[in-house]
Amino acid sequence: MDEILRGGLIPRRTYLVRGGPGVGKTILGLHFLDISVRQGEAALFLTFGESEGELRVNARLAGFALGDLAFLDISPSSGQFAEERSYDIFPPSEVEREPVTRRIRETVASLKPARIFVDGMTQLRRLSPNAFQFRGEALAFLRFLCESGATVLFTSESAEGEDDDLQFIADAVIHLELLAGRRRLSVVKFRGSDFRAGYHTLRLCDRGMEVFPRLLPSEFSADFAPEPISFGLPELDRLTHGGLERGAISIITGPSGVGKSTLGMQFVSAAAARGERAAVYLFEEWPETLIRRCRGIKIPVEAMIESGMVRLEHIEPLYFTGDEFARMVRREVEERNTRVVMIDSVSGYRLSVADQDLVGQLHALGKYLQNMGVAVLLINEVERITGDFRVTDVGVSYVADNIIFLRYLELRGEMAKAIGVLKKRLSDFEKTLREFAITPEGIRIGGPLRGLRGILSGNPEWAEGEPPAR
Amino acid sequence: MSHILLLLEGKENRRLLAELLGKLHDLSFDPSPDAFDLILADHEALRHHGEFLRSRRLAEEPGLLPVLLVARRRDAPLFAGPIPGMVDESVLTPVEKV
Repeated sequence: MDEILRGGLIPRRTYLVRGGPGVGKTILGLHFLDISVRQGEAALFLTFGESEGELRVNARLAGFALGDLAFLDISPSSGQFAEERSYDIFPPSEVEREPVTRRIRETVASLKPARIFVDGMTQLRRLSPNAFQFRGEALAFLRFLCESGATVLFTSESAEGEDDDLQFIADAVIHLELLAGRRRLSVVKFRGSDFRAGYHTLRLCDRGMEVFPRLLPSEFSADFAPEPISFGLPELDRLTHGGLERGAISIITGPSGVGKSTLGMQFVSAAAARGERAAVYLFEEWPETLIRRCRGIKIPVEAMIESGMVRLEHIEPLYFTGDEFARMVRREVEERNTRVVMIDSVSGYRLSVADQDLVGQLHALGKYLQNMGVAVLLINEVERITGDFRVTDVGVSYVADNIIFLRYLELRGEMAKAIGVLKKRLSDFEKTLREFAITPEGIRIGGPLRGLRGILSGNPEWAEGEPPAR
Repeated sequence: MSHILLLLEGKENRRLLAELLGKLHDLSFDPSPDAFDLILADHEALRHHGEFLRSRRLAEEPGLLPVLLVARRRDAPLFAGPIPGMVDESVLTPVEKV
């Protein structure tokens, strides 16, 4: 939250947290108060909705210790439902406002809290005779709390448009939403401070709430030389004029089963062999499967995992959002000095950000890794096995500095594979294609396929009559 | 100081009204042969003490013992006006304190 709010809340101001039921408003309030509790400051939870007993139980379940946190419970009691407590002779504003305000005044005066969380501020509406008076009274109430020395967070559970008055009054507005089972947070106003705009993922967990700020690549940088990193195979290095650069985004694209992941793992293992840690995120395959495949072609990924130079992580696409995945990658890079990141595949990643902007999210993550000097491999599957050439099916090729493609070919009446480089932003590259094969001894790259035309169509022909002898 | 009979069966309504009126008037809460200047009654009291109200009003004639019905605003179409022989006027709740 501090990252989103550019350093946190400004003291002695009022902050509105708004959103529908179950989005996490109360949990956010508990985090807000928890800081005071931990620092030994007085803090007050003022509840108009849930009772103190319910809140204490729920807070414990969410992992909060509560400590000396004070509660002022102004929630309706069950007795009010019973006949002897119900009334209609006077409006609630005439009957309940005075005792409620007196209790609040007395509690705040005696406790002198540094932080106050007012849960269910909209319940105060029933204590005001009309909307105009409510706005004035809410403003006076919040000013009173601030003038007593407190920073105030208050909630509104009004639907769109119904709490405009509270939004105008508050110094900042934090909006929580629950969309298609995923929570998100946005700051829509913060007087006197900048903030990180846009939607940020929110997750409720056994430690309360976790916020995953949207990645802003421009805020990160590292000193690095954009030198090429070898594939560990001389022919591949020749094809790419030295390998793939640090701080470059490389897409390895091609149809299913052509060898994209294997090629990526070749690069990863070469990096790890030089002592550079690599992280591989598998959205579609389990690590055990990839390890077995690598073992079959003499890529020693198991040993590299054991030595801590390679991390294989299966990502459940429908569980994480793009923001959460970005946080995971950031930890790898910033805390474990990972120098190579491979995402297998773009389609799996797309499932993660299904409710968001795929290209924008991938662009942000890629740019962040670029700025940190990390070599990025994006494994991209195209649907067509042969036929008209397409770099990607999801329009992400523009984020790439390098594009390496793999193709199935019918060559001399047999099925074959070819590898080529379509784009290298930082250096020249070989313009011809080469035969590509995965053998028990590893990846084998043939010589340049010269004299063929129509390679990208998938049905190449020899440009001048007969093929040369093999 | 007037003597007012609060014939309200809603306990909280009776308590709140007594809190307001008790500062200025002498209040009673049960039907009795005492002399009253005004009777305030709700629907339930009207149903249970209709005979008492009629007889007290007759006893006061040719003078007037005014009876005000405390009625919910949503019931106004039924009880907005006087009920001959029993209620002279209705007060619709909630009532703003002045």
